[in-house]
Amino acid sequence: MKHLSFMFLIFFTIKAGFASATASGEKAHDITSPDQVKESEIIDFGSIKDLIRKDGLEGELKKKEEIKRKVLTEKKRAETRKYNIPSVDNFWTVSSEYWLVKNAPRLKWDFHKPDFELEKAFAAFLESQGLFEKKFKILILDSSEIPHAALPTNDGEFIFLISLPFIRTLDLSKIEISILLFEDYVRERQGYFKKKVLTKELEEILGTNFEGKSFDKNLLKKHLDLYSKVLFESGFTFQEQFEVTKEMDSLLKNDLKIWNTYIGIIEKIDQLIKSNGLYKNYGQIFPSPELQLNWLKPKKQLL
Amino acid sequence: MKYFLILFMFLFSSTLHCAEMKKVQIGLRYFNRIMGNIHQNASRYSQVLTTISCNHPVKVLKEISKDGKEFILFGEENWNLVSVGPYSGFVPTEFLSDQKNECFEEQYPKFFDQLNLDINDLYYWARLNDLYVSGKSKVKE
Repeated sequence: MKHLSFMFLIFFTIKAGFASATASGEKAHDITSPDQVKESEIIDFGSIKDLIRKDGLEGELKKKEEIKRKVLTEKKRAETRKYNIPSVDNFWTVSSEYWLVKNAPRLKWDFHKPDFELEKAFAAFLESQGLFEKKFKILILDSSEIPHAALPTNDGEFIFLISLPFIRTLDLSKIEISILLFEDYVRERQGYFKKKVLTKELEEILGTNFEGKSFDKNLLKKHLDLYSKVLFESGFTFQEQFEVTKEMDSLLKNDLKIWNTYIGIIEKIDQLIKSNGLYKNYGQIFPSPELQLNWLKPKKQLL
Repeated sequence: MKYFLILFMFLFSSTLHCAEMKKVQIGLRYFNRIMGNIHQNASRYSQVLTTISCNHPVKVLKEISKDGKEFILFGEENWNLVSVGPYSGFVPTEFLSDQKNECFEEQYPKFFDQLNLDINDLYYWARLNDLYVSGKSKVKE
């Protein structure tokens, strides 16, 4: 009896296990055979299109697509903007500083310089000439290669160079330095320097965009070379210097003390270039102190 | 012995001073030059700690003593004590703006790349801003 009940128990256990395995097998069969899904069970989205429209989902989709389109367009524009070339009005200050950076060892401006408070003296001089709200930067050089100059800049800014050895050799006072810088200011305002260093090819590309095109780096190199040529070799013409001197004459004549100081500086420079070999190039850059004196001095003796 | 005592007092007082002062951030400003230097002291000839470019954000700091008094060194009125990354140093006040600037290298990034500036050029560009003597004529009164 005991054996019989034991066998009965085993039989039922095996049967129950078999039944469970069959059921799970059917389920697995259901999942792995999608082709057997009835057609009636597939959702037809076309039939619920009206319902989606009613819910405003289509409009929402259009809005999102419009936003996406705008974002992509703006992204494209931003990418194109990266290739913009500055216009001629935004180009000059960076171009002059670029030249100063590239010529730093030659110009020797990276040195510990004395504080002359030149900025105060020159600002006061500009104010005395009725020039207000003018921003300027002065860079003192420890080289005599460029005695003084104004570099081309954007509107409302000015960069001046002045040589410390030149100041010391001529023993220039702050007012004398200010007058020399003012002469450079007048020269820069006439635009002579800009005309000399801006090639036609460079002028053509300024203010354009070079996306998808190659940028001709030689244009920039040539531009910098022209800066060096003007400041170290060729300088300004007699005609340009005549116009600058005449304008200085008319601007400074209102204050005879200043005007006499200007004449005095030119006389000093004239003597210097005739006696000091270091400055023999000066007459070539700013032609010429001797002629300037002739242009400035009154033609007839006053009684 | 006397000299030793003086030296000891000097060292002690400077240590005490350092311990008493604390740096507090008073604002955020943006650098407004193409390149520039952060100096160890409030002088354009002082050692350069790091170089930053236009629109770099800098935290402006103030040194305050324990009793809340502001600490200002003579001659520092045109300089700001700032924190940039791990460095804490000085930068001229005129080089900082309250708002982001229209920087040339951000407006014309690909053109600026064409300038081919190497590390030496970047150093000189920052140095140029250090060494300019800047001024402005006033408005007519």
